[in-house]
Amino acid sequence: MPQHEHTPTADSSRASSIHLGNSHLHPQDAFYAHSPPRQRSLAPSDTATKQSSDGRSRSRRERDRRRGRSSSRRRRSGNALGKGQWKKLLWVKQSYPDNYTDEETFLDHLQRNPRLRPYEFWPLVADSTIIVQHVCSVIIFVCCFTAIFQERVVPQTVVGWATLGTVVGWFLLDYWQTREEAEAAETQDPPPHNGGGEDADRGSNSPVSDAASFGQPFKERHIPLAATASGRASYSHSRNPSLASVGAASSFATSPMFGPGEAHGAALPATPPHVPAWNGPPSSLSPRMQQRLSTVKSAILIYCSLLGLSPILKSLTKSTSSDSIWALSSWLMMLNVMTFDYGAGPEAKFPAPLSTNAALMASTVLASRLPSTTHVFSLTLFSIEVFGLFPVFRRHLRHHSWAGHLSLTTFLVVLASGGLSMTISGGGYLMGIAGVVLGGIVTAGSLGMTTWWLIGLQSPDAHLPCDPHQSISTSPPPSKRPAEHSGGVSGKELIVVCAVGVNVSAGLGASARSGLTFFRPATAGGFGAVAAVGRLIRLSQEQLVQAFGLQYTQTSGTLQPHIEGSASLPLQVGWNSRAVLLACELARPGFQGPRDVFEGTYGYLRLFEGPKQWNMTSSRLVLEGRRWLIAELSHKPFPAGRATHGGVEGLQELMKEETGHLKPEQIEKVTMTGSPVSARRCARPDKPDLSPNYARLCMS
Amino acid sequence: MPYNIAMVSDFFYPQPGGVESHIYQLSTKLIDRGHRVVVITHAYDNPKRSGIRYLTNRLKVYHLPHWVVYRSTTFPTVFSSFPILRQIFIREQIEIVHGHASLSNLCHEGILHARTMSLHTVFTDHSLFGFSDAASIMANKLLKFSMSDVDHVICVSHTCKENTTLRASLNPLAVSVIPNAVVPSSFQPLQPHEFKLSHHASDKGALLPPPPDPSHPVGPGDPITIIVISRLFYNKGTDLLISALPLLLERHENLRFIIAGSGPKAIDMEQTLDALPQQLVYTASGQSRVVLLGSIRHEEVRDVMVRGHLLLSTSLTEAFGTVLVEAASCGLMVVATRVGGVPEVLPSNMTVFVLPEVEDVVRGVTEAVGVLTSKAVRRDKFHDLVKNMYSWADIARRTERVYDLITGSSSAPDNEGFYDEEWMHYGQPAQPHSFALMDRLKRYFGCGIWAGKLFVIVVVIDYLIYCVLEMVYPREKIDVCKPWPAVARKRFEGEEEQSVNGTLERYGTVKQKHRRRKADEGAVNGFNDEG
Repeated sequence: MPQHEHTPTADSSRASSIHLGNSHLHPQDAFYAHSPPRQRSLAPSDTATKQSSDGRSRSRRERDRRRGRSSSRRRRSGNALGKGQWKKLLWVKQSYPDNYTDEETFLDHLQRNPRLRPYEFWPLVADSTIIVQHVCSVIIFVCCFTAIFQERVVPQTVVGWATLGTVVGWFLLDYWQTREEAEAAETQDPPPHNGGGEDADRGSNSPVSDAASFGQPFKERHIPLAATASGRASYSHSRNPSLASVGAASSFATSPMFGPGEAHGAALPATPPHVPAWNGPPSSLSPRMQQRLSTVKSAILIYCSLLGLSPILKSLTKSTSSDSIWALSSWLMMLNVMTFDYGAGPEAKFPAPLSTNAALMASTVLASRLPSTTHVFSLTLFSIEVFGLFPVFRRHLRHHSWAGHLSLTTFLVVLASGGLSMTISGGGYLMGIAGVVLGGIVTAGSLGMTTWWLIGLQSPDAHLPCDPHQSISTSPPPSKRPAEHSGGVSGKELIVVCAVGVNVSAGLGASARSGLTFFRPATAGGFGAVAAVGRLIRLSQEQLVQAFGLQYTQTSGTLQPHIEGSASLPLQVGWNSRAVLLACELARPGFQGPRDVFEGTYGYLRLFEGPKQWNMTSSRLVLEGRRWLIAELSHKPFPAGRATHGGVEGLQELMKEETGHLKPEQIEKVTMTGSPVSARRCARPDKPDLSPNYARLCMS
Repeated sequence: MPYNIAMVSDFFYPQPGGVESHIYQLSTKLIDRGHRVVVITHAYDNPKRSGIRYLTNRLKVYHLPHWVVYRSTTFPTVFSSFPILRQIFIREQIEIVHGHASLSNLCHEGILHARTMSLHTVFTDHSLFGFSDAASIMANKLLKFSMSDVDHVICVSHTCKENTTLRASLNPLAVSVIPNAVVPSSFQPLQPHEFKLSHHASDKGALLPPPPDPSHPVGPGDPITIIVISRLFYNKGTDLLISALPLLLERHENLRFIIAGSGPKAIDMEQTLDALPQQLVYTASGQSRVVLLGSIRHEEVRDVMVRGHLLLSTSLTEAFGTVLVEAASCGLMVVATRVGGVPEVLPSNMTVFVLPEVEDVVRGVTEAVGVLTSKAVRRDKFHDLVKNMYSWADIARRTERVYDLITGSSSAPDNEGFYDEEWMHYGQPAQPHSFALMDRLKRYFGCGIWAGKLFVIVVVIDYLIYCVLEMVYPREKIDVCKPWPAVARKRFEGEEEQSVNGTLERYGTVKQKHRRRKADEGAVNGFNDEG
């Protein structure tokens, strides 16, 4: 590590060694990084005066006291052995017993729950309502069967009500789909004025997300990965709009980085089935209508075939004894509950096949116990409705209307508990009401209990050290102003745009393996700004590729002003911002730019970062939008070059009371130790007449 | 004082592996120190290797007839092995039961039953585990169960100690760190006469790059051979290797690879190599730059290692990394991912540590190649350095100290004076681990709300079985095994004398060795003594 020394005056004090940043570590460093020497920030003892050694022992005493142990033993061990510290090494013969536990370094590198997202109470309860709904519908089915079997109810009534419900549900579903389609069509219109990216916007407009009657957002299940995110995927996260839209935005803005195949998948949403293909055959009916007709057709088909099959179903397992039937159907029902796909969103077309088949099988088996063909037909139809169609409806309902979801849950709980109570007791409505009360209490209680249990279960998860490698990345992209002339953007959209911009520019910066030669805040920042602006003015994928190309043709920014401390250094960022606006404006009408901007033969990375000195694999997470660097930004505490901050901080420490208000005259010299970057950039000589830009980067 | 020790583990010879050789080496060295050691494992190649076998150095091995389920682990029947284990413990007058490897059921059963029989127990953990996935959580529960009543735990590295302490909620003072070791004599760098020999008779290794001449330093353009010896599993970082390989081949014209080991990822590896352009995989003279050897036996490892300059280890988790020490002992520079206990194993001038990322592996190899060609390291010195770092005799001595600690007895004369006064009884429990059933139950009960109660039930049942066994097969009716005749005692005394004289390496005199060999000749054995 380079060390550069500098002057001030007077008697020797302790030198402050400050570690600035971290670049590639040498093996020796790697080594010490793992077993830090005990006195990290103290100087070698030969320069330490009496004062500082006093300070040291005092601070150690304090530390000892903090750790609640007598300092005497430690001191004795240190002095008596003379061999120094215990090291976390195996190859050295140490004068400590094998079971010696170093209280200072033991478990030093433990990371607790690095990626844990703690469960919260209400979101968990909200999630478990899905399970409650399914269990309730199974109970309702069983109750209905029992009622039919005991001939307390006519099967036609049951199936009649169920069919009515199904039809209503279908109309509701149809209405939602139509509305969605209309919205989709609307957002595909060119005028971008209503702000908001397509998905984010829809997320906030749909009544669902804001109707979330719980304070907390839903625990999100899967943040869409950029590669797989289709337009529809983000629908499922309406209750977590910001994340969802960010995910979608990333796929939108960063896709040009990676080959066209991936980009297509990402930027153009997979067409939903109900949206007609663009060059499909012309038809007199609207596609929506066609779909409705086909649904009706298949419904009638199922109805008829069931009618025909009923006699066969009735006699299928007639010869099996009733005991076996009860056992078999119970197991099948349990299988259904166990294997049901509780996590599926509305985009899943069919419920989990194993689960559905188990339930239908159960109903088929049960049907053979019924007296007549009508009974069998009704039960089978009912089971199809309950196990095949109802889950689909529930998913859509939960997606579209949170209040509806809640009321449906309540309704199902009431129905199930009432029915169960009436079935078991054989009593009338009074028993039913009692059952409802009891069932409500039991459901609420068990929901609460399981949730608490789950929360209690999550034990701290511990990880052993594997320090992530932080490369020096760039500052955020400068310009995203074009929104003004299109009527402003929503705050959320602005955040999305910033996040995308930061990710693109920092991702490019992180891909580099070389030292700075061009001024990365300007060069890489420009590309980030293209992504941001492109997203803001809603460039298509192709236009965005062109915009990146056009920006590349104008990319600029060198380090010469940096060295000289010229005010033109930040100006370069401005040049690029200007270029970005131009590039995006040119790309919109379709001006052609180069395509293979980043990794091409004379592409950005090869030219600006050196022929072999870059690697995009490391920053892949960032560029694909799976890791958001904007959340990792920090602020510069001092208005100076970043590489100087360690030194500034160190000097401030030096001037604090701990050292007894050192006067400048008392300091002879201060040695700063830092990373190669800070040494290269900031170890510049003091000059008599400093320009502000020079002074900001001068550590002398 | 000499102890009667039973090493219990599912993993033992004839299966190759790190745990297996650890048990064997530790046992022989403990025998050399005058203890009586038996190894208890399950039958291999059932029923061929079942019953009692003797290995070199009077090591008695019990192969219990058990059903092997997965990767030579026995089926977890908590109580089924109790009768036979009790017989063995009584026959051999065992005082200390030492279990190895946390994935071994036999080891956990042995520890449980030993505690029921009021014996001292020690456990050695050889592996690191995660905390998050379901399998680890189960394994950790099991570990907690069997660790809650163990006297002392030994881990192979400091990282492993931290891991185990957390997983099993142990008192860190009851956990010792005693590393693995290597047998330096079987991992020697290429000797000059061998070098000549290998150049004359190169028919066998025609496919492999020839071993470098150790006396010649590496020049800038000289071919450099990288050795990879690892089972090709996910956790061994094979994917990392697969991704780094093309980059390395592309960047350095002079690199060759020898990859030894097999596993589920071998196919991936081959496919990757097939997909690479020809000029990358073959040298100008048509030789393959990457040689896949498949799995090799432990004896062959050294012969492969001496053909290279560098050892590359891309493991994602590693408790100790014996292979690194072996490679350094053979005089290889080591490039290793900085995971688990790896950074503790070798000094930094022998190793280049990298992060488990593709580009950092590439960087590390580049750096190591640079170090090699710039002659900044003396590879020929490595062997002597490593020889002084790790030796099994030292490991056995340190293990013996653990035994002394838990039994509360004074240590052997040659085992004193390694630490200061103040460390004399460091980590010794204030009152000895109580064997009373009630105290044991209390310890188990604290394991968890549900688990604690379950464990208590298991322990109580175990105790009842013990009572029944005491009635059905009374202690008095069981033959006590005769100790090995006088040899052992005499050797021990002889050693004491030696240690008084200050010799650290405790090998018998020539005469004693001769006698020992005679005694061994009667014994059945299938292995050669590597020591």
